[in-house]
Amino acid sequence: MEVILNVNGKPIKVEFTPEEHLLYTLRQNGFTEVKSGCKEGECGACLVLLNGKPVNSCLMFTASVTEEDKLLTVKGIGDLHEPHVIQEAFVDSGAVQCGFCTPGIVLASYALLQENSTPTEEEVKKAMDGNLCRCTGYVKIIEAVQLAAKRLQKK
Amino acid sequence: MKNIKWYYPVSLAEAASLLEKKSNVPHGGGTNLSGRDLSGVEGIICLKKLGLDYVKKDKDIIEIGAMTSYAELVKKLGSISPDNILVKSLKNAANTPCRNRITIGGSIAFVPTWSDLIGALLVLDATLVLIGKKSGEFKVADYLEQKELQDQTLICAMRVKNTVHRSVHYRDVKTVNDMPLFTVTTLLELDGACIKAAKVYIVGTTERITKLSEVEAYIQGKSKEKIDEIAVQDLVNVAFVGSRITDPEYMSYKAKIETGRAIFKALENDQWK
Repeated sequence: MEVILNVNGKPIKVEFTPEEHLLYTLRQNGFTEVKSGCKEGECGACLVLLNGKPVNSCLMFTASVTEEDKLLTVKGIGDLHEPHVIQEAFVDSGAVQCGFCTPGIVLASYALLQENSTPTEEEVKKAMDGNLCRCTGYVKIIEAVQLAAKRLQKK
Repeated sequence: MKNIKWYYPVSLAEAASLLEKKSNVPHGGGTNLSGRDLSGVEGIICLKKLGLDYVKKDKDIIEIGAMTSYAELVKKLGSISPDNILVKSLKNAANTPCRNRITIGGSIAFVPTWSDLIGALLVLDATLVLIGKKSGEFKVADYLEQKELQDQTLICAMRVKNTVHRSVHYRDVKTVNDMPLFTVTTLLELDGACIKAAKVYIVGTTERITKLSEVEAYIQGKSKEKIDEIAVQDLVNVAFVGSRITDPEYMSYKAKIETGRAIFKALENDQWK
């Protein structure tokens, strides 16, 4: 099967099998920032934004994504050369350790801050309820999201 | 590798005709099918183009399209009827990315062993609009019991009455994001200080869904002061299947306690005073 996916604002033609999950298709086509974790929707390592909403790409068939759908991976919001405020806040807060969960968590933060520019600690926790981190203990992550929120307000 | 064919119908009639082939399965975009063994599946009917993601209110009936995600339902129904038991039960189900994908229709069609949805639908006496081998409006309770309603049918929408009620949904979990081991859902309609109608369900028992008819009968017609919480607990006799991490005897005991608490919590809900 074939489809033109809109990833990070650019169209990309991909080939895939009928049973293929979006996670695999994205990684096979170079989007390796989308991580393969539990593959059952628990860990959030494979999280991408679909039309602005966080979803687990491991639980989505590629065949159910259309050309009109807008997919965003963590590299779509900023990269090493031009990091997004959230990505900078994660580094400055010490919220990155092994880094495996970071792409999903940064995207979950991005989706939260798009809807709510001044989240409380509880709201941050709720927004992160689909992301597991085995290194940080979450404290630094919550601090990073709140730091990013403050910096974004000043912009 | 087997070559599954994807279909993208643009009308309900087209979707219904595709369901005539038993090895075709509908897919509303949720998470159930993607994690399943598809060895018996020859075709997947993608429902994306059917416009089944909506919540609308018509007089005292709320209709919810089958492809509405849990997150959308909480948001949209929350704006119409914020204290509705469906809002309370689904806002904490699964996790954020899953709530953005799990659909109402899929959650009913796959009849999961755990569910934050089923108890709420049963206390609300919800109905389903089906097309396919059986077409029409059917009670959720009947759909869950009757295989002929499930086979080769498509859930298009769910309907509930927009009643004024007091309700509590308890989910028994080890951590907040877990699938519940069981749920207790209670809905009370009051006439003054007395309970006019009561519905209490536990989902997750050995019989999967247990209607607590004796509890309902005991509390009906009584005011809060006339209800003995211990008497309520004594009327809750449900069994659970144990597992490596759960003790069925403890769960049965906990179900008694939580049912009593749920009823009193519903009656004490300040917003209704």
